[in-house]
Amino acid sequence: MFPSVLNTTNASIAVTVAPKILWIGFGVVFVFASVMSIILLYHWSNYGYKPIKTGIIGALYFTGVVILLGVVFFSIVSYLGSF
Amino acid sequence: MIKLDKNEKVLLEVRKHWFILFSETFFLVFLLILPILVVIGVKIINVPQFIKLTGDSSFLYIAIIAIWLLFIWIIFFVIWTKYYLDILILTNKRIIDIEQKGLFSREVSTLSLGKIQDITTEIHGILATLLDFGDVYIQTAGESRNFIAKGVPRPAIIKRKIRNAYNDVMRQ
Repeated sequence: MFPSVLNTTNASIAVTVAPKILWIGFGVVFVFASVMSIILLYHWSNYGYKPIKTGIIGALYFTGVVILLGVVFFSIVSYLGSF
Repeated sequence: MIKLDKNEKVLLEVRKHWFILFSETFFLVFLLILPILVVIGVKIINVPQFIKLTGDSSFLYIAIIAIWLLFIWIIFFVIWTKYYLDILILTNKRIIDIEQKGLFSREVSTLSLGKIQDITTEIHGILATLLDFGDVYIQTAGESRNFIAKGVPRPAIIKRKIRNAYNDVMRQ
């Protein structure tokens, strides 16, 4: 009487992610990264025993953060431009 | 920043052994490959796609992976900061022990070399023996608290250097 196997593979729903949600998400990540960066920078500048070494590490850290935030930003822009 | 007195020279700076940092950050390697494992898992199980994103969804996946990597990147630097700021400094006058327990927990203790009573080193385990790292216990006279440097490289050399500095102070 009832089908034993439901054919669900063809029943997919098309979803459009609203730009607002994407930008709010990016904002949350940006604020989180900024707060963590300020905390780390404070520690390196106030408690770092050798400023040169913490300077190099700081540069490395910020390079990584900027690159990754940039990738997120341009991925969102590219996604929104792909409709 | 640590401020030294006049005529005070740093003789030794000791941080935890690199293996301690390695073991504390090792879980990040797993987190790093987790997205790949998820993608492979989804393909193996062949999960039916109930939801299909409109537009080029590969850009969204790139964004999610970049956010994931950003979290790992920040966690690594938090662990490194804790490792880097946790230091034992031996000068020709005293020992400064800075214990960075977390980002918002820090303890700085100072001990005059003349107050040292005994120094003990302990190495436990195969890896610690092979890589030569262990604990250094500095017992002090009176009611001063004892100093413990855990997971430091070459504990025997550290002990010798502290002992030499102590002897120099006692000679003066």
